[in-house]
Amino acid sequence: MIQISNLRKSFDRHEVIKGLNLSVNKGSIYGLVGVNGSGKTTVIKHLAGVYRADSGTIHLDGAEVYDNAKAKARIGYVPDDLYFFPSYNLKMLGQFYKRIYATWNDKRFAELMKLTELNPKNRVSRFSKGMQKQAALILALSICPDILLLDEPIDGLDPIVRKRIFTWMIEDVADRQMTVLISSHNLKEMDGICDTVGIIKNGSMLIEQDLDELKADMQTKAISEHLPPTLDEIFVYVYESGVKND
Amino acid sequence: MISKGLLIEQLKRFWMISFLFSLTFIIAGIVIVLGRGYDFAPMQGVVEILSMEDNLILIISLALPLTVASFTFGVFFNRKASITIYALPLTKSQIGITNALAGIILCMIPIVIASLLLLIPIEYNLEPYVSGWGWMRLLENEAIFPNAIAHGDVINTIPVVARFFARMTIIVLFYFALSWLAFSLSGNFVIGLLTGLFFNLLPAALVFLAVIIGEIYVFGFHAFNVLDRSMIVFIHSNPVLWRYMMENHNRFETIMNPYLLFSGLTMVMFIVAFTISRLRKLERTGDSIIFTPVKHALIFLVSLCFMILFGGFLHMYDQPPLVFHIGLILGFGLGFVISQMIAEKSFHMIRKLKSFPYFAGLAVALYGITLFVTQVGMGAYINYIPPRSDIVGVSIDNWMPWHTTFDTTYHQHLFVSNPDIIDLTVQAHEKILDERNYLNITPLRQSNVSQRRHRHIAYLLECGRIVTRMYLISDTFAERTGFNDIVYNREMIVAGQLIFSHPELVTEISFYHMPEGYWDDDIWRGRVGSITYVNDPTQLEVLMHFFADIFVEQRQPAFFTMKPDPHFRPESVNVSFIVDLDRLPTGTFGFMSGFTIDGEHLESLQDILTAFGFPNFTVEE
Repeated sequence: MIQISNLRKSFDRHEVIKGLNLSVNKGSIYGLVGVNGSGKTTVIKHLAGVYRADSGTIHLDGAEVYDNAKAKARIGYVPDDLYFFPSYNLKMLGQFYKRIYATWNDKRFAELMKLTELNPKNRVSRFSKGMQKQAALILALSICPDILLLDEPIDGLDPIVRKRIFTWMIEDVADRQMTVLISSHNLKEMDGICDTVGIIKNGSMLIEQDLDELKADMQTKAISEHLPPTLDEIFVYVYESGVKND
Repeated sequence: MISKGLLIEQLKRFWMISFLFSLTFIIAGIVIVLGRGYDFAPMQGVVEILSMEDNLILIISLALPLTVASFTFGVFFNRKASITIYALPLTKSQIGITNALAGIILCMIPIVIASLLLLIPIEYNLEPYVSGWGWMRLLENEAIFPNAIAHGDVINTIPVVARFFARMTIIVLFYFALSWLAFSLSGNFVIGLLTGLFFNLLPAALVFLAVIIGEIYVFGFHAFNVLDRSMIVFIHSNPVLWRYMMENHNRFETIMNPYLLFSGLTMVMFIVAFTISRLRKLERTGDSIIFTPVKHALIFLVSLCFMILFGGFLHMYDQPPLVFHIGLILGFGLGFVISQMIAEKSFHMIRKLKSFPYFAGLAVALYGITLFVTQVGMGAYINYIPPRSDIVGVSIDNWMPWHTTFDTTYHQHLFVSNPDIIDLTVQAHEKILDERNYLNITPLRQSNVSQRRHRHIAYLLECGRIVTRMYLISDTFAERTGFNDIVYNREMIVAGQLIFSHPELVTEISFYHMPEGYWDDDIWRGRVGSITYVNDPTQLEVLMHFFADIFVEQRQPAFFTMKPDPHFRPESVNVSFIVDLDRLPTGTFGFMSGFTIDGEHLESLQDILTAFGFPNFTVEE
């Protein structure tokens, strides 16, 4: 469904993505993991249609994403650095998204709002970081996207909000076969929700595999004292050994 | 192509700008209308708004588009905002056009409101006894009242208000398009503003540079008043300035219909800005200049401007070639450092100096091309003297043929048609060219460089065309080449002054002797001395011939060696000419209205006037 082939991107002559390949199946929750500066956010921004690739392709069901309004209409994107119109409250943002996204669902928006303590009449820019993340996710889920891109969504959030975000996300995957690509440092959380992981290092994909299969493969390499190995242990092993997919 | 959702949102977000500017228009209008303190003021205020003569209106027409563009294209300067907005299901074209349309609407609202308010009828109700400059200005305002206006007529008719609306729209949209263009190239608001200013100055700066380069390297080339020419270009690329300089003060001639020019430029800028907006790389948001080649081009242009300005400055003060070239190098280096600092938003320049050799190499190459083109390619211009058979007149040391509004139809009298003088001029010109150095930047082979001054030669050709050349040469050189023989020739001097070449235009001459310690005003008010008037045509003819002789004598080099300064001798007499303006050709300018007769000739003047029956004329206090 999501297909990135041989993606390359440079900033000021410094190549940050080096021929990266990535594939995400419909209805899966894909965890994109890597250390700081490995290129996760850049990959997600390409997927969101914000960045143009220097070379390579980014396809969503065969359609190029960059500058393609139809493709972007199917994507819900929650960036790491959130931005809301300065004087807007959540209700006003909802109205804005409703004008922009044909798939906007008022009922879903109202339901999700009820599940939080967010006051829809307060300015979003005055919300705490966690509240802003929730607001952004409510907006992204209310457009009923086929694909949800989450860049560090649980970074700095308390456990209750983290759980709430993952619950909403998993419900949508189960109900509507929504595809999720999520990047995070928090590998323990990712371990519990992702079915596929991609480990990215210096702009290249080291390993991309079904998480259960990956764990089974790694079990044979005896990288951990307990079985099966955790995503944390696999990540450290892959990073240090430089092992790659064939 | 347009996103209705984004458009509504932009209008919802920024309607306050339109509201505030509408309010400013209203308040400014009230201030202008009521702020005069005279009975006639309200009407004059309305006229000033309608004709956009009030500076406040001009400031608003500049501030409105800049403010609107800063907000509607604010996404260009905010990395987080740009990521959020460009991730929306909209194409870059949609976002660009929608933001532009929102900006245009926001700009237009205050103009529409102001125009509607201006439609409230105001009748011309001035009483004849009202006096004052404001009233005069009102009557003089031909832009508003092409014909006389009768008492009780409405001054702000629909066509007049429509013209105000159209002009404001053109001016405001010009600056809005310029802002969009500059902002689309930049990822930083301040740099965006500077880029806009740079673009605004660029046409004039290029003309200025071209003229300076021509003056330095093209022997014989002289653009009369370089700054004036650059200003003409500047005001034609700057509607607010055009309004101020042209329609208020009529300082420069118009190249073409400016509103047509501004509208055309606006369209071009909209298209370019739209294209650039589509090509923007969002990851460069926050950078000073988004496109690296544009950044390099701007750095190079700024460095080049500094280089030519430094060199031009030293050239103006006749510095030797070595100093001139050091000035060029220093100017380029300084321009490079300053523009790099701005482009990189940093004072740490060491790393960036690595690219200096490339920029400097390009500058040297351009310098080489300039030298080649000016010295080889412009050879035909530099060495050109019209064929003797084509020349019907020459004018020496008169700046008028260089003036941008010069027209031979009105000023043919300036050219001397005497074949001997034409021959002498051509010979002197040939000598000047023979003795020129390879590079014009080095002085000609002259004994005294400090005495150099600009010398003008203008040929009138049989076909009506004028060929002009200007040389910076010393008196010694001018004497050696025979140039001075023509300069001090009676016929040439007389030709340079309309009243002496055409004495029949003078209808009256007045004489007065001004005793020491008094002013002209004392004479004219009869406090001291007396004034003698002569208006008999025959007497006028004799006197004009007499004055022409004195005038020619006063132009000879020997006259200036006399001590004390002959113009200020206490026994001198002031002469004023009354010229029949109706008989002057349209467009004539710069004729002489009076001069001073020194003590040497007073006795002769007294003799002539006594013979004419003016025995009371005296130089005694």
